[in-house]
Amino acid sequence: RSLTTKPPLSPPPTRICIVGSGPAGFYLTQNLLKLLDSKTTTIDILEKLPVPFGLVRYGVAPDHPEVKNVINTFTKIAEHPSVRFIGNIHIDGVSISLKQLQEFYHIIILAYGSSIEKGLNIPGENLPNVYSAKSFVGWYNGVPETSQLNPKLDHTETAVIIGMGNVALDCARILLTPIDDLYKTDITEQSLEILKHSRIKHVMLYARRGPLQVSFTIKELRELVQLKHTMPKLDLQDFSQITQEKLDKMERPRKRLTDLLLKTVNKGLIKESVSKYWYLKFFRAPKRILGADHVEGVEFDITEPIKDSDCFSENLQVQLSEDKRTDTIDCGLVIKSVGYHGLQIDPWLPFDVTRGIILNTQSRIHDRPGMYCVGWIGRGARGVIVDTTSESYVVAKRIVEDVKLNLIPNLNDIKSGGDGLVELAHTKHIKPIAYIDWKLIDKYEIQNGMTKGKPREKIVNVEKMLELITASKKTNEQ
Amino acid sequence: MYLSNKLILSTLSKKYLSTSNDDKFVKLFVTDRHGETHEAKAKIGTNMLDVIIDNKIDIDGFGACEATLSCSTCHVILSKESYESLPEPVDEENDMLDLAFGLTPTSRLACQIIVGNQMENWTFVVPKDVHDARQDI
Ligand SMILES: Cc1cc2nc3c(=O)[nH]c(=O)nc-3n(C[C@H](O)[C@H](O)[C@H](O)COP(=O)(O)OP(=O)(O)OC[C@H]3O[C@@H](n4cnc5c(N)ncnc54)[C@H](O)[C@@H]3O)c2cc1C
Ligand code: FES
Repeated sequence: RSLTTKPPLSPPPTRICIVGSGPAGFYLTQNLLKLLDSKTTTIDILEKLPVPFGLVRYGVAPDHPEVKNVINTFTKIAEHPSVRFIGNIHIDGVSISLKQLQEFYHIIILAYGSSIEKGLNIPGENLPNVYSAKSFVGWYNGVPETSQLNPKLDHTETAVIIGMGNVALDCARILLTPIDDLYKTDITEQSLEILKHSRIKHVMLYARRGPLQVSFTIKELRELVQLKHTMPKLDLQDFSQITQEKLDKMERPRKRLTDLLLKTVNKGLIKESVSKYWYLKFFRAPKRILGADHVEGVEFDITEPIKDSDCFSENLQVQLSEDKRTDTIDCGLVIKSVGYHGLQIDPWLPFDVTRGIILNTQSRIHDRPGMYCVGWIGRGARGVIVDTTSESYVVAKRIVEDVKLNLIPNLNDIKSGGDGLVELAHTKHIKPIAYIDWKLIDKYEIQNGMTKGKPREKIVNVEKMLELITASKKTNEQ
Repeated sequence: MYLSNKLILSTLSKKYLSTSNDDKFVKLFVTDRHGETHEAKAKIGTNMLDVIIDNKIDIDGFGACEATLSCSTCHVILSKESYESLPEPVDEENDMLDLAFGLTPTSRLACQIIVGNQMENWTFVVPKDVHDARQDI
């Protein structure tokens, strides 16, 4: 007989899993690695898609390659010996539940982002060529679910975008950017083909409130202002109340943003060969989307600040105008960009349905010791990647504190971590993807892009990704 | 712990590491998020992000976009005199600074500061994370 067991010298490895491989998941992993002993800790990053990086791959606009540089850092994190990426594993409370995860892991951190788009709840919302920004972004970025959206862009000169955040500006920019500039990005081939034939000349963005409540940031605005062959069309009237004195009292970010808006209104910016226009329309709430079998226009209620309110406040409330005026615009495409919402992935997960976030206090999930949340699913769908970076640092510190204070249940139990999970997945006919498998996809996409002068040509459906992996594994075995 | 930003980013800064003999350096200081001050040897003509990486000063999440002016993680604070002696930041740098935590009137992005002779003995302060306060939900 072989030598039998020695008594264990140290406590069993701490098994940690993170659900979601976006910025929150990766930055949290990085911080945990720094704070915990990597010899006795394993961290598994679980992802429902075969490919990692969340909205960095599938949200960030194709003409923002610099923003995607964070992927270099994420790659180093994923290749750390204590870290294991397990893709194509959907934690949805049905095929795999959170309680099941607890059998394999001591600490579970939910970082699965906000995946539902808020609706408008108005008539006509489901007409053809009315899309949520999430679907539209997913289309040009090759998200498997919506990569075949194929919006119709060759039958109309006017697109309406409802909302004034960064995502709305991204959509506007994609519609307005000269096609030759998009060819050099990782935008999908199918989208290019449709954008090439686009006849859209006017992109109109609408907001319920005024110019002091826009939620886009100045970088994105400046980009649009400077976009080749386009001309902003803002209404001076909308800015009449903004005096220099008022400007001087604002906080720096709002002040600089408003200043740029004002400059844009005043100068009108003369550019050569203008062929497309964008508009910011304020104090308009969508009332109805018009059309019989496809969208033909949008009717807006004109709104006004509620009586005696401060129109400079970020929290300005509006109501329908006293005389109930409306404003109708003809258009052939509508994009609704009014924010994202989180999903309760498991009925056992304490969830705040109205806010669309996991119920948590300082990232600790209510009534679930050993469970945490980070990123958009804990905080709400606001802010840029950097917000998540610094939040992860704080959350990692809290988790490590809890470990030290013995607040994590069953930390001395032996748990099997990723091995156990992968085994379970196999019994359910799920094919987990490892990081080296993703590298195969990555390599294929980059090579495929290279032939077209693009940084990457994404594979836009999951089956094809899985086929590619199976195929190259077979070749390797031979 | 073998993984950190400096490691990740060091590949990037390689291009600056041509060690010709006439390389000139100044000595300066960097205060990290925990308030600890590190002495750094800064090569003239490189940017402050590279200085921090090359001197192996490990600061969480620093330099996420790799000096492409599309994040604000390389935020540092200068003294008033130092700040004023530098050329004014361009609009795009200010745009990113607007999103930085703990923005001050003498804040800059490290990746946009080019090391010069005058920086001998300067101190660059990496602001403490102010996220804690906003996190209380
Ligand atoms: C269209 C768009 C453009 C943006 N552009 C920028 C930009 O240019 N610059 C910038 O700084 N920020 C940008 N942002 C914001 C940035 O993307 C977010 O701040 C950040 O991605 C939030 O990170 P997260 O990890 O919380 O979520 P996500 O990035 O959404 O990551 C969540 C991950 O979890 C996975 N997942 C979901 N459900 C499950 C499940 N049940 N089981 C397993 N895995 C699951 C998802 O597939 C995803 O990979 C943009 C956001 C959007 C929507
Ligand atoms: S590293 Fe991103 S702006 Fe300096």
